[in-house]
Amino acid sequence: MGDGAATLAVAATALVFGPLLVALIVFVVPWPALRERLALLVSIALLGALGTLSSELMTGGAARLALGARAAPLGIELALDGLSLAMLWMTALVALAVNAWAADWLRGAANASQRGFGVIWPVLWSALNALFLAADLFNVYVTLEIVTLAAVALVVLTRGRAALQAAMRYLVFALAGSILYLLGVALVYAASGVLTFALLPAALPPSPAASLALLVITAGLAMKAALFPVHGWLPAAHAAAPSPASAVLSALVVKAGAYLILRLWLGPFDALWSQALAQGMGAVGAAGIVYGSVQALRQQHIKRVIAYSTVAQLGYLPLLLPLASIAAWQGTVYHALNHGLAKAALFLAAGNLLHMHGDGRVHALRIADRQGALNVAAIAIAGVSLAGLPPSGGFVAKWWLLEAAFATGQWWWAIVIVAGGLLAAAYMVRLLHPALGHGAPHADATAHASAGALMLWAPFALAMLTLVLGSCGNWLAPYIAIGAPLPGHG
Amino acid sequence: MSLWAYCATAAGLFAIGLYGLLAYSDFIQRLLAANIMVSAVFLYLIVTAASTATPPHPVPQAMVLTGIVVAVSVTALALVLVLVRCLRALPDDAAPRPQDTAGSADG
Amino acid sequence: MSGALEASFDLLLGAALLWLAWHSVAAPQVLRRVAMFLVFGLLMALVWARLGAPDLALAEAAIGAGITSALLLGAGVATPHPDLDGAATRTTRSACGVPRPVLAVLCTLLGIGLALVMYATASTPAPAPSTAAVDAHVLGNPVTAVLLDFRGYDTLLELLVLLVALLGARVLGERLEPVPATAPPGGVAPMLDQLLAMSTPVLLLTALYVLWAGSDAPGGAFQAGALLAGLGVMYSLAGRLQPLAHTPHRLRLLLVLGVGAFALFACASLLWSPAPLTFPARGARALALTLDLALMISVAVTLVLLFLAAPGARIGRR
Repeated sequence: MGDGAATLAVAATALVFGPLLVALIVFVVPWPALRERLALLVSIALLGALGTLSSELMTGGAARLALGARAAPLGIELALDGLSLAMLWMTALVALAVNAWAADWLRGAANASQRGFGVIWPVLWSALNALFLAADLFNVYVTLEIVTLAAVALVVLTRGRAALQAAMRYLVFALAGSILYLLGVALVYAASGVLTFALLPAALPPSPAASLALLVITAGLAMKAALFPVHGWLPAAHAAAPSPASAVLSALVVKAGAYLILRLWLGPFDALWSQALAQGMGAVGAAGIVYGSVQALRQQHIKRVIAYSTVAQLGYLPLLLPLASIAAWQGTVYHALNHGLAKAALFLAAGNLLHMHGDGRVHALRIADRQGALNVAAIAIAGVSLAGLPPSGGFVAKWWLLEAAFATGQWWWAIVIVAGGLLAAAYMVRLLHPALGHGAPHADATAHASAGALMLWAPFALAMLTLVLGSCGNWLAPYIAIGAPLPGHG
Repeated sequence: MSLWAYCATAAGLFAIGLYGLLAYSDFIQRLLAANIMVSAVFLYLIVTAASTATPPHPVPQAMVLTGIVVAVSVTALALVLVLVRCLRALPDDAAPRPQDTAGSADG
Repeated sequence: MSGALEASFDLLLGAALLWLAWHSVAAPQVLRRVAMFLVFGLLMALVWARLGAPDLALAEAAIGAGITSALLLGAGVATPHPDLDGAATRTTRSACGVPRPVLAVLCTLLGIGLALVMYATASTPAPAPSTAAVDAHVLGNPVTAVLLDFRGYDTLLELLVLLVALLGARVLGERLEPVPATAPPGGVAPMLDQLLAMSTPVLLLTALYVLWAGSDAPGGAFQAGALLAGLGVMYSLAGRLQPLAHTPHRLRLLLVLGVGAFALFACASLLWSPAPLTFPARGARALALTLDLALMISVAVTLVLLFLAAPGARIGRR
């Protein structure tokens, strides 16, 4: 445990404070060149930190770290297991792509909103890392607040009227969610006297207060994760933000809420819910999948299609609760990871489209030149991943989920999963149809700006990564399951 | 200390705040209601702590102090949003609406 | 009997809080709502003092009642509120679709249920973790010890919340005309200048004292920072603080001082301990005071800029 904790200490410090120092330096030091390069350099360095952390996890198993050398329950603990590590990797890879994309985007005389992105995004990145490592209920509350406020700030970056409307709506939902979560934490503390995840199962016996706590915490987190039916803020907010911001909002921020629901239900609150309640949560997820996909089919603007797709894809995550088994755990983690990469690729590619052609409507997607072709290829591959077609990571995730559904005899979720995949394929094909239906460059498609190399390759690389994920599935599966709090596993 | 009086107050404050949040559409009114709900939760936390020990345990006190600062931060950002929306001439914007036919510009 | 007297006092406080809260939410005019909220906050501070939490009382009075009400008042006065006669507050339609009387009944039922659950848990609370380590700490004030040492990570993150709120406000204000300052339409009252001349040294000294005393007695950096922010708000209302559309370099340094100090401490502590954010065995008091000082400055500057709703400010007349 000694060595594992030491590695975790250094890596956690790097993951949380690295991006934070980037933000502070970019804010204080007025060199534009620094602004473009520093975040990119740090994200490459953090991949190294994650590499050491991964090898530590693979050899030593799950780890815990007491911050300030103050042990829980008075002090704050960080914890690492397969799920956290997967989320940290997702964050790091999306961050790398976004930083690379932004390095081109911010080049030269950046306008106010672009500079704002350069300062606020690293703070969000740092807070996400802190959230995925957190193992204390109140610590989670504060990191979630940073994530929420930074996300709101990113939505208003363009300072347009609709962006402000969307941000205010987001804030109301997020505020309600925070208050409900806080009420839950207060109830848990009153009933158990502890806040640390590891200590809660023993300290919190089932009681009306504990059940109420679970209910309000789940409701609060659902608002932040845009689960149906409290998803109303998401499409407007994610569509109104500038593209790199939309990428991180859809790929990472909403995942934080869903991740916490899964983490809490399967960890500290394990004894408080019944299979009936879990089926209810699964139904919530299924409703989100269907509703989001259907709405995605009706949108006219690319960013709105992608935003509704997020609502739909997030609906897969609660399916873990009724299907509680190792295969379902692996499938859900893989789904989250795959969706993060694919969604970021989609939004960055959409950003390229807007940058190059200035028109974001669905029927305006055209292949005008080689740059456009690369862009459309990125969208197509990401679409393959979202629809769950082989050889993508999405296919592997759905396969594992289907395995779990049949193994536990809950065949109705299999229908939902397959239907979700078909609907995703439908809206992605609709998105790509104008580009694919016209082989030669269309006369209308005039490129009015050229996208930089990094801007074009970042989404393409992310999309290709989802295919890599697909082939690594069987190799990664046992590592994802490390520390999974499910029966039959330690 | 009368435990039931404070618990009733905390619950009552939460209910009043919830009503305010759901019933009114004015943004500042909802912010006020949210602040009251937050105060209600803090009251409950400290009341529980105060009923076991005197003085109350320091961890819930630290939690409430942190919560007060977080609440003022969120309130401040929300109010800046309101001010900017009401007082500035905002560019007719960038964001795609459902029936959007205008293009979208990025940052 | 002191028991009955105490119980009546608590009941009175509770009833007053509920009455004030109802009016903060439902009064017809925004000024009245904010005024009720201000008194609500002050009464809350009284409740904290009654429950034996003086640090919270200071914080609630300075931040919860003071700064929050100043922010709300500034925004409430500056933004148009067409329904000053209260017509909007007399309809039965609500924002969420459920008619108001039904909503009121539902909320009442929820309140009763919540009160029962709250009372049940509060009357049979679980044993809280032992405070032996906190009592043995070099800092005499247990709340400060927990804030800086035991749960210092949460304090760092809370500073980050404040900073992010300001960064968001900056995005909205940068390179645009500053939002009209919150000076009263009839000009600045001459008494305000006199008040400012008298309050500045008093508030400065009080803030520094609260900061210094916070190590061993009730007080602390957040309360001190809020006091300084209150001074800044008064300067702004007197027209002596001008909002700017950009953030000057020195101001940026002051804003990141708190988070930066904590971040440096976190990384540096890896040198003497396997875990980040570990207080050293010797020099703990000095470190705590340094962190507190950095914290106070950042909190004060951030809150003043948030009140101005501007990315920067400079001292001077218009």
